[in-house]
Amino acid sequence: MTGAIPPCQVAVVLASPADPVASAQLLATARRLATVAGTGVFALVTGGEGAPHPDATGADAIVRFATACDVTDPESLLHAAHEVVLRARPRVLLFAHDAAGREVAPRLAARLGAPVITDCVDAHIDAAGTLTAIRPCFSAKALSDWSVPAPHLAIVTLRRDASPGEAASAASPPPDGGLVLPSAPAPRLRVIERHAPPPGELQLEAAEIVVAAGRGVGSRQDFQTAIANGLAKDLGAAFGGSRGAVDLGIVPQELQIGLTGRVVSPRVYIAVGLSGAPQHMAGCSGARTIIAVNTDPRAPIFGYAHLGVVGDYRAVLPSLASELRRLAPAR
Amino acid sequence: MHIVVCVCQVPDPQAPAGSFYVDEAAMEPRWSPAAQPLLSTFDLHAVEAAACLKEAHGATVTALTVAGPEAEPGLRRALAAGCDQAVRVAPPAGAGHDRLAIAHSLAAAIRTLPPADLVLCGRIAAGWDMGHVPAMLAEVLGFPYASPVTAIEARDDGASVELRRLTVDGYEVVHADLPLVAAVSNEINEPRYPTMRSVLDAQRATITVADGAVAADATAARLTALRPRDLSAECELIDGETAEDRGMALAAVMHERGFV
Amino acid sequence: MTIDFSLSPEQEAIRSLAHEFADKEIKPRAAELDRISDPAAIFPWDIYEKGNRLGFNKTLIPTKYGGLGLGEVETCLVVEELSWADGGIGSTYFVHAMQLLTLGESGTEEQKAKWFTACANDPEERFFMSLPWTEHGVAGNLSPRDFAAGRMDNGPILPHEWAMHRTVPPAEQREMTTVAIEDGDDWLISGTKRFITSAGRSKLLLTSARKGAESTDGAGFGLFLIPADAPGVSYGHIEDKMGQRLMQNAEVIFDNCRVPKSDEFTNYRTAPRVRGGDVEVAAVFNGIARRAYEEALAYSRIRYKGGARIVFHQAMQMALCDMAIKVLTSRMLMLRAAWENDQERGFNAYNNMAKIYSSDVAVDVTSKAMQVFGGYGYMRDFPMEKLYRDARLGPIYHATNEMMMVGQLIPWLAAMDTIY
Repeated sequence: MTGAIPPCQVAVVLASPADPVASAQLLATARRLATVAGTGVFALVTGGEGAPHPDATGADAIVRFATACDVTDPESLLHAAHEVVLRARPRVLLFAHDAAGREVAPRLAARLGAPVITDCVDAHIDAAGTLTAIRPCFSAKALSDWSVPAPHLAIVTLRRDASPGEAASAASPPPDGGLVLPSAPAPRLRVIERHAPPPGELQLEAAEIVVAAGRGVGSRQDFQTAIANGLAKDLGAAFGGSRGAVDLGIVPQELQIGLTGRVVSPRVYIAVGLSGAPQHMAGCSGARTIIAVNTDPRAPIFGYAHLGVVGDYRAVLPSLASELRRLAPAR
Repeated sequence: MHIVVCVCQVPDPQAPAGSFYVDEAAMEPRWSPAAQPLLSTFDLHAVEAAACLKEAHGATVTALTVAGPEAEPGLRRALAAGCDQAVRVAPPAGAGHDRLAIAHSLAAAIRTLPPADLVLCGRIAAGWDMGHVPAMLAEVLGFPYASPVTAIEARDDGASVELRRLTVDGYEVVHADLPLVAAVSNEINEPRYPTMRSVLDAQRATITVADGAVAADATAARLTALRPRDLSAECELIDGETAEDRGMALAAVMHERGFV
Repeated sequence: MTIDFSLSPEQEAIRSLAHEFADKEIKPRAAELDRISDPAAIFPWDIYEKGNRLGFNKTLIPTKYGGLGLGEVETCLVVEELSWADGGIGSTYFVHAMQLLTLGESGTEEQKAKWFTACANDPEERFFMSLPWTEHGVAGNLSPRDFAAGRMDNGPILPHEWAMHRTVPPAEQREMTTVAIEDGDDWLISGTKRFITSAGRSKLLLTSARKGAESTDGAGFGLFLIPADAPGVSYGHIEDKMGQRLMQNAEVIFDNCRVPKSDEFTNYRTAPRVRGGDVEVAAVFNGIARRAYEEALAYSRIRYKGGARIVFHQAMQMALCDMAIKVLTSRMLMLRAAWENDQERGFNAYNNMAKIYSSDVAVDVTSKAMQVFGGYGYMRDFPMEKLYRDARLGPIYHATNEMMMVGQLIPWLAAMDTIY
């Protein structure tokens, strides 16, 4: 496809080049919506002229900036998305529900006076062209459907799903759509320093087993010994913790699991000394089996858990680990 | 410096799971009385951040909400925790779930106050879990926006702040000229308890009721269904005399069911 | 139509603050502190300081001395919420509140100005009061059993008359070994008191002593305000208690402790008794009982037996209903008594009833709640055994329920034809 982009397209904003799974999921959803609507998919890529864009595979065309856009700056992304809407008039604009999407989608909605639906787990378009997106709410204790009738633009952010995404249909990167956006204005916020933790820790979102610590774990030292280098290591599991545990310095901030932290959906979720506040549970509601270890039998976590052990984790975890080693020595 | 803290009340997020249910016909959430309305958790952090800035640099702090009179206990909590005055704007008629109407109403109210240098919000409120209002408010006011903010420090010039905002896997230190809208996260501080005296004083304070509501826009996404999602599970408690025994018994169950 | 059972917005705001504090600051640590075996190593000053900073030890101090100027209803709400998280901490506040009430009613203007101000403005936020009355052979509370028994034979007495009578009965005066000997403008006090709440931690002691020769009209009995660190005051054995371990009870030893006559608490005998602290004790046990009920209800919702959550077992349902009724009625009686006190209508036995009933209810409800937990209820991993231990103090505490009935409740009831 070359030349001007026809209207009624589904536009995808790819802001996380570091997360190809999220990009693939976004494009797969976009493709599904576009097929029903009988239109195509174009992807906004943030690299400048000539930059590779492997994560746009699956789109019909790409839109890019004249010069590379700073993907870490939400304001540049906002500007880009705004330009795309003004110039290409897409029917649906999809973002990943990541840090950038959380900020840019509602801002763009305010700028355009357009409807926005965020943190969606699914979206579809019916024969009449009405877009409906489904999002969890009330700490994942309810699901809500939100509709935007044709021909209005709908801005949607999609939650990343830990399950493997639908495979991209096209094998080769899509052609340039011919629409080149002017460069973004200088950001109003000036970044002075960037801090990122050392890579290499098992990705929480992709983990099969997650061990999560709550306040009851007591200290960072105990977290390191009993969980990070203890049970999680034995199980080959990723680890994190509740907001309470983060607040007390037991768990590093970037490993916070919950509505406002990271959302995980492992096969087995082991909650240790964790009370089970609704916001936390919203971050692990996708787990297939939840196991709780807590001294307080009244802790709400037992209302969510499939298996529960009442007792001090300091006594429970070592015997659990040694027994698991005995039962499955080959591990 | 004039700081405006935008707050709202939510049903107690710590209330037991059984206190919430969904009225599917009305498409509305319902709570039992156990879920008492409280000031939203992140808003408490925003109030504390404002109180800290006020202590360090001197400031006037206004707590602002768009809600009915039932939200006044939350405003009084904000007063007890360090805000100097409280303003309530009646919600726009028929706003429903239109967060942009809320943002416009907040912005209209802010424009009637002395110029705001810094607008603080909690990053999200428990409930519909949208978190749209702070970003929309920044856009409506035309202010730059930072979120989620985990530290904020005023510069001596009084015209800018240095803040930390979380990124996907770390954080950034950012310099921002005022005015600014910042949505704060819980890491920013540990909200202090108000003293009994400040609680009593706040009960006796006058809350300004302003008429600044801006009508909702018909183009907002429309709620078409609300379904409960039962997260609760039938918890099988592992038996055993000592905690160690229960740990071993759990290992057996996990092994048997192929969890490991 | 004035009856209204709702709390005022101020009361609700105070209750909610106390609950938040109890839930976040006390509850997560209470069980661990309770397990410390050395009773001298438990008293959690950090929690108490934090609570005092919020004003929990200043509710009853009039505003003109820098206090909060609140009444007994508000004090009970605070004590109940703190006790919901830990009965021992609640009891520390109850005993302190009782002393503030006594000082407020019977202290001279100088005494009130000095000590209320000291409590309201303590920079360390460690101001608690103790009441060193109890001795090996002398009950600490007002226990006019001789008086009561004598008067009962001679027909009913008027509540007002009873309320005015504030002596320690002669028999107990004779048994009291702590003596005050006049020495110029001072008293010299010597003797040993036992089981004294907050002793060794408090800043002010309201001490009883026998003055000189025996007396039958109570004139020989004295009360003295003594700074806790005064020369001649020392602290002995710290009691190793079954429950309520987060409060401290210890021996107070007076050895020729010199007290200026201006610090004698002389108005005590003549001031009309309105407030006695009984209702604040009730708050302690109501907090414990309510917590036990909540624990039992929550556990019954998650525990499966016989294929169903035990909350669906009829036996559990009856136990839960019974607990709920008792918790609520006890709380209503407490609030009624506290409200009567705040109306300054004179002493009334609702206070005694509230104390007696709440302590019996707490023992009963914690016991039933333990039954809901089955074997786990007896284990220290679970919260019930602590609640049971903490509750068991109730019928003994302050005055045994038996003594309170015979000594205080019966004389009051006997003076009336009915109760309403």
